[in-house]
Amino acid sequence: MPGNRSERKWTLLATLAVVGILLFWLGFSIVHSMQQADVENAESQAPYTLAGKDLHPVVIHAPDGPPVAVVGTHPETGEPLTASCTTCHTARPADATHGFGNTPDEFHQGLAFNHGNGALSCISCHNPDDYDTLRAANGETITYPNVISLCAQCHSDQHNDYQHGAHGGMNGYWDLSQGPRVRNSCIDCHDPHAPAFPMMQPTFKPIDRGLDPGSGAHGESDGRSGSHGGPGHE
Amino acid sequence: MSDTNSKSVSLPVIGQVTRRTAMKGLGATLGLGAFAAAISPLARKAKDVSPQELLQKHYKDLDGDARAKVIARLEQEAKVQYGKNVTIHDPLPIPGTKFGYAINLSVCNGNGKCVEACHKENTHDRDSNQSYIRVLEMERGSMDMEKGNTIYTHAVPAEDKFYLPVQCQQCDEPPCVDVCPVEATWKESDGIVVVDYNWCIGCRYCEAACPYHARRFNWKAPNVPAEEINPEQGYLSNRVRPQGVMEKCHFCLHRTREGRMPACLEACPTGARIFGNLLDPDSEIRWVLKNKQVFVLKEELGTVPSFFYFFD
Repeated sequence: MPGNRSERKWTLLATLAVVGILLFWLGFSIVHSMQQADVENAESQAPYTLAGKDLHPVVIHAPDGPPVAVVGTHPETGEPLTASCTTCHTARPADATHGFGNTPDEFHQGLAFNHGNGALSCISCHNPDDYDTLRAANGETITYPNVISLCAQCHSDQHNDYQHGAHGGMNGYWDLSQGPRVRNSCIDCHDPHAPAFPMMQPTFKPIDRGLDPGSGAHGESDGRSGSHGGPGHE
Repeated sequence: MSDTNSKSVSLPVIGQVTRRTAMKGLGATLGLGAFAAAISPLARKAKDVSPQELLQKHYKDLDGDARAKVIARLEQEAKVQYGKNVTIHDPLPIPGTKFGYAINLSVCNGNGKCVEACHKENTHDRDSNQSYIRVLEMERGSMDMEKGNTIYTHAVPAEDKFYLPVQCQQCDEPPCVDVCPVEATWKESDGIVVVDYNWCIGCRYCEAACPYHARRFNWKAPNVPAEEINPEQGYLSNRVRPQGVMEKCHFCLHRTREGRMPACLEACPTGARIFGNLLDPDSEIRWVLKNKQVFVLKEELGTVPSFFYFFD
């Protein structure tokens, strides 16, 4: 009977559909449970590190401790004799008339002070309660190895650049997963008593054809780059 | 015809020769002479070039084994020619790395320590003080690098001047690569434009094409005392170059592909140079690109440099 045949066909289709849905649900639930297991495993692992490797340190070349003053030379060896700041400064108070651009006449002779356009004195940075430390504007004590934070209270733009690797020289590895890096501190490049970067004498120049005034026909007597391609020719 | 024959008597040395024949002979002799003169450099060259070097394949066609043999031969040649034990590495680009460089022109004072560091690191010719870097002394307010002065000798920085160090800008659209007729120079996946010194024919097209004057030609083999040769070398970077080939700044790839800083950055006493991976969003170079007003040289040429400058 034709009706009977079509009935059977529909029954078969319905059965297949139900089995298909069941299989899909089963597959989905299995995959879902595996994913959940993965998330749980990941959470129980060690903290994330770059490219799966431990990063090497960035070492800042900071002073070890407070500086020392040279107070004379040893009569026999001729080596300099040094004393810590507190050796003198516990016994005698700071002379407030010194500083402000004047050159001190005892112990700190030769110290050319040129920092802050006359607005700073010694105790703007040095701690009058403990001369082996520094002092921030808010009265907080700052140790010498931590001198960067003292400079940063005024020079915040430079400090911001420094924190992002865009100020101050460095050596070592750009890729910290492969090796360490050593960075300068402020006082490696800037004398804290006269922080303006000093004038320098330039190194040798490559002998550029057409630029060297002594090289003959192409030379320019005024020492400027000529018409032969500017800084080009070697 | 008899008229022509009577004229040929005027050549007393070779009797019974027409002027036409004489001129042909003369022309042929001159031509042969010119040809011999033209190919004579080949005869000279053949003495310096081993058969292995003559038959050496392009860098990209050398498989690992062949590359190792070439490097061993070059190390041996360095020992013979310069009396120095050198190690030639062939570091490959680090996946996920594209190098970028930036210079803070507010800080650079034109002292030229970078020029010197490059000179030493890359075993440049001592006679010509060669270096991949030029520092241009520029008038304040001018940005035309063609007007820069490279031979100042006074103390720096001078009043009303600023200083612009220029080296290979590692362009994304490098004109030097486009013009090379033998594909001896190409851009690697980490952005560095390199030269196979053994494939370069020394035509200097790339030198003419580079708008930054960053390429150098070896007019002669570099004259460097053995003790000053940098023994740590790279095949595509600072190995001692032969005469007659082009060379250029390669971002010290023998250092930077091992994670180290370029020599010019480490030498900079002002901290003006910032180097790093442009593809790493946490890198120093990316912070600079995001937070400083950076510019590139000759932007209008469409070379798309990986080298940036800024003032702050």
